[in-house]
Amino acid sequence: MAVPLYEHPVWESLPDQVMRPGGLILTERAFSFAELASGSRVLDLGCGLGATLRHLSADYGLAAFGVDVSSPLLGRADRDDKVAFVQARSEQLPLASESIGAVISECTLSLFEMESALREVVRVLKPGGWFIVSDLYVRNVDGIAALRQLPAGTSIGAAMAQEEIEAKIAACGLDIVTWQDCSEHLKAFPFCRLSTAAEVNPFDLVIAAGKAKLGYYVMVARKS
Amino acid sequence: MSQYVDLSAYQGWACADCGQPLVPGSVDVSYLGNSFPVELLKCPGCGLVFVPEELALGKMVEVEKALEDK
Repeated sequence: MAVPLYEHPVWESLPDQVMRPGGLILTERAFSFAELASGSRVLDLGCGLGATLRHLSADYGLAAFGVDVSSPLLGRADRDDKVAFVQARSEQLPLASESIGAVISECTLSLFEMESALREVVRVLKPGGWFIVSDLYVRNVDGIAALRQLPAGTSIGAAMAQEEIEAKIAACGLDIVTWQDCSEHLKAFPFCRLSTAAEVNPFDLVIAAGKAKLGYYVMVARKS
Repeated sequence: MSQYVDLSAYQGWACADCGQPLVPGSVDVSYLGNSFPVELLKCPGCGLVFVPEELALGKMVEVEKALEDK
């Protein structure tokens, strides 16, 4: 693949440049569980083009920061004075400990070295801070092998089962407040338009996703 | 050549309705609400799409089984 899928220009053709299923609707659903005062600092892991950051700043009055490993994506992000972008790995956040009210990770968690990223999430969250996640997950573990055969570098091929994700979240000391299945949002998401960009045979993509019963979830956890 | 099927094996096929030679083009395949573009042969006149038997009985059946949980 010439460029990683997340850096492919195809994303900029999607509505509102939102690079995940469910778009800002699921962002709002997830944030409805978090009690955050206006002005609270929120960090978006893998912020991409910054659609969530701009939304959280404009509609929630939050101080929104985003990190992304991709220089090209950050370079194409629409900037305004109220949101901040930093190029960094989520496994090594350039932020002070206990400095953030909420961390959000939308369709990115399974792309990270998860234990390292979760350790950093716990480190930067204030006590009582929120960890808000939406991502793909596997509802039929018998189909995981088919997913793993897809090219690396997308959340699809790295999706895990709910039990495994919850165990990793709990192991890092976060309490899960809610887990909601939002798989209905997958149908509206143009995965197969992305298959060309990812150089994946769309038939193989649909077959693998079907065998694994690929789903989408929103989870909200809290630091004690 | 398409990545899903060797379209060159069907060179010379023509549309049964218009008689025009089929040409490679992007076609949206849709099943149970899932839609994706593939390159197949189609008629430049009426848009009729040719689905080779090997594709219909191969990957397309696999997609059906995966989505219908057969």
